[in-house]
Amino acid sequence: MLLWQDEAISSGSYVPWGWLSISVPNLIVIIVMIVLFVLAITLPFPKERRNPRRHS
Amino acid sequence: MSTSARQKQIEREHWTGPVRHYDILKEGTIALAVVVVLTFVLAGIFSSPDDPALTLKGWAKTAPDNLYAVTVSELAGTSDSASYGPPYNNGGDGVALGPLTPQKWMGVHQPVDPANDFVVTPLESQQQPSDVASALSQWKSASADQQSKWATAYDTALNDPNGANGDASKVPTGDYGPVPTMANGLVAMASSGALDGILAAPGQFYNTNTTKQILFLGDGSYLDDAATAAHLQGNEWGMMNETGSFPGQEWLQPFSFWYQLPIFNSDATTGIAATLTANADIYIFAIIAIMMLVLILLPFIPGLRSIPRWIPLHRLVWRDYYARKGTAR
Amino acid sequence: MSGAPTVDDEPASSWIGKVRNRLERDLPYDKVLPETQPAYVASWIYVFGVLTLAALVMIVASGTVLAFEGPSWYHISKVGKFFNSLHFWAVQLFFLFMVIHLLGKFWMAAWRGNRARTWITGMIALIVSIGAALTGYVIQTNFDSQWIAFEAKDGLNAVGIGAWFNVANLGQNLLMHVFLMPAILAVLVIVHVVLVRLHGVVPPMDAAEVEAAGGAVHASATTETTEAR
Repeated sequence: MLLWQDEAISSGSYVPWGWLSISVPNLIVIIVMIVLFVLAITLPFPKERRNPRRHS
Repeated sequence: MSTSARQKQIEREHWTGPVRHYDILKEGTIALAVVVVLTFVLAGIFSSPDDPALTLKGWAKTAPDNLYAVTVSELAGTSDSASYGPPYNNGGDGVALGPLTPQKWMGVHQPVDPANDFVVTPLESQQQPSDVASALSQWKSASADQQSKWATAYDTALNDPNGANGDASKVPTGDYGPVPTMANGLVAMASSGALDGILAAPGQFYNTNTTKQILFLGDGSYLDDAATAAHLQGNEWGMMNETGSFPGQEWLQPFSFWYQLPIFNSDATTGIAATLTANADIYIFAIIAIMMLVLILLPFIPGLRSIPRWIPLHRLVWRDYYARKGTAR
Repeated sequence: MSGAPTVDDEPASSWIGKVRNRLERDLPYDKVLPETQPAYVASWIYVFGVLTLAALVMIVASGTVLAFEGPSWYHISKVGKFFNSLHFWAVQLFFLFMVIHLLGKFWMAAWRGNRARTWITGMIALIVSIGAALTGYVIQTNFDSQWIAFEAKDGLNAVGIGAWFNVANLGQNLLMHVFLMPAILAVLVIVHVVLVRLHGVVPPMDAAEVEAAGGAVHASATTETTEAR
């Protein structure tokens, strides 16, 4: 018989920080977001290969 | 023309300055390919969270005393659901923000009558042992007043911290009518698994509305304990978290954040912290509504809309374009 | 203005004619499907809008498969679990990209030059997405959905929304999640994207300074404004 409902619910790790605590996966997502944002505005964007042209 | 006036003109007009080739269709296709690859990789490596739903049967097996006590409290009208108020019933007033009580204004729109919906009707919907059957007919033939007297007396005796303190075997004898037998009947029904299929819509073939199951399950300690074990309580960012080692609904952060503040999360029984904690749901919703309005209307709010000018990250974004300054006159 | 000529070169009197004239004037094909962008569109931050759209496509695609098999399929099928995982991670990416897109547009003050409606539709799309995600989380038919429904109901009831939007009602949320929420979001996204194409990408905050320094010459600065086409 299935008795999985009696098993404990799984849980990840948490970073405590005073009365704030945050789950590690959520923290990772936030860090990834900030890193991506910083990279997006700092990494050089490919230059155009052909000569830039003006609107006619 | 001043530079700032010219700037406004440039912003409003169709761009007539230098352009570059930029294939947005190709960009979109590449973006889709990147997202498809990323989701397949993430799904393949990490899978996704799926902890099985709790059942009333599991509750009866794990915490039968709690299920018993909750059943009694449903009959006595002292459970969380019975004293919730709108939109389920008139057992309470709900929360208030000063004189504003939208919860009450909307009225009872999802009617839930815990004594009948959680206990009496499910018991009636199945053939019961003779003692439960006769307890049920005793309850049904009694006046509402009598029902309330029995249930309240037993509920009080069962939860007396200086007496039984939750242990049904230590309740002193008294005039409890059919209440203990009915509660036993419901626990037995839950242990057999029968209650899971019946609670939402007794006697009906189809069942798509799970409101009653969720409310009944939430009245006990079973769901709450499981949530505590999984760090899902409101004072730990609540439903922003996820079971297992998975990111949750981080986008609820601006919402969940307020529940973390000690003032909305206090043990005080009097004073402003007590008021704020008791009515946290509506205060926090009001704060969020204002925050959303501010964000939506940001382009029109002096000060806030100038932040990007004061902290000029745009010089990084447009550094190549700004580098044209002073190159070719 | 160089409005495209109508059939007989006279102002249209019919509703449909007026709508067509407006579209032909404001949204000609080379504005809807341009081969070029202003030279300042040269930063990785610009790709996050289209990445958000791509994630939305992935959400709809994986969600369609899940919808065909019903809300409990993924508990018992490995294939179902994989499609559930695709849906889950596509949603995570969707919000990740959308918030970065939002941050980018904030720091570029992208609402300048009559573009406030673009900002507003984007913000509303974010709020609707949060609602769409919530309806998705409560139809998982697992422990997570039980707990989220139980918790979320209090906030919604507190403001009276819960009387109609009942997160504990599986049937209601299933229908809203697979039809209503995506439909509203689709309309918002279309309006948002059309507005972007209509007004073009917002020029840099110091575009006039660059121009004054001779970095770029704009037609309207020196000559009569004629819409360059």
